[in-house]
Amino acid sequence: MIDDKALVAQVLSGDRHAFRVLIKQHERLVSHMIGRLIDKPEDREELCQDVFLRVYEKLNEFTFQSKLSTWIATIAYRHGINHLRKRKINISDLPEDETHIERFIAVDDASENLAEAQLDEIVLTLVEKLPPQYKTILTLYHVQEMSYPEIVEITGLPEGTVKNYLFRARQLLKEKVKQYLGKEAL
Amino acid sequence: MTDEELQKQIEAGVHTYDDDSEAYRHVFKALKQEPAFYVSLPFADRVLAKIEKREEQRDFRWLALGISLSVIALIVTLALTKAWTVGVFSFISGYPGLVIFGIAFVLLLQWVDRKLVRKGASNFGV
Repeated sequence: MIDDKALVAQVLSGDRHAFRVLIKQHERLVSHMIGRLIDKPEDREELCQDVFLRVYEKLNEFTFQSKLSTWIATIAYRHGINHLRKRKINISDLPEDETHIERFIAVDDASENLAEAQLDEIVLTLVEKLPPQYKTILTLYHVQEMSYPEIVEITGLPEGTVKNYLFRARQLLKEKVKQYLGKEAL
Repeated sequence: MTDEELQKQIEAGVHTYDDDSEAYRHVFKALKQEPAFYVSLPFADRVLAKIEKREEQRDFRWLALGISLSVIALIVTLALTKAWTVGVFSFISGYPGLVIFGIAFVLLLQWVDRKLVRKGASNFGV
């Protein structure tokens, strides 16, 4: 595998094959981030393409202060958030009111014997209902296994906020899962 | 035990057996799963095609700018030197309508080529 510096140098010298390699190395990261942020399936691929076009345009400004993947994730995050802002979607926080949290936790008509896979599916469906910044942080931390400093750099949020969002999201999901497990035990 | 402590325990791989721990274990396991969306197979090809198209458009803009500046320079030179009274320029100055029509026709052909012919070709993957 080519290291980041060599790969970037090759792309900047006009090597299209090198940029294809760069896309292949990072398309999973970008598609996970955009996939979690954007609900409309028809917008997702287009936005992923735009992210890599932006990467191509801005690559000469990349100074290796961070990992290439972190820099690309930052572009993907900003692109996704800007798209949501244009559509006037609340990106930042869960409403604090009790009714919203109660509605989130309230049990639907669940079947009584939930298989493990079904429970996973339920958790992932619930994740989709969380605000975009929560979804992004959960994805970067649990799927991409990024560190707190990396997530801070990508999202531009203070470390305390990142930790708080992560904690609250897991706590809400846990309450929901607990209710499903409670039903199963009956 | 608080939720914060429980989350730290699960992350550290320590298992306790109560309802909260069990629920957290399921949550952490599910969160490890990759989102369902993944880009299409020819994704990299599409991005590279867009880059080529943008660079072509940029080249075309530079070409158009170069031609425009050349034409302006020619007109300014002719105006300053009054050279339109000599040779071929005296012929051209006798038919200004024809010259304007010629330029407009060439520009129209370029526009039709870009808008219709190339667009049609790209729809067929050419």
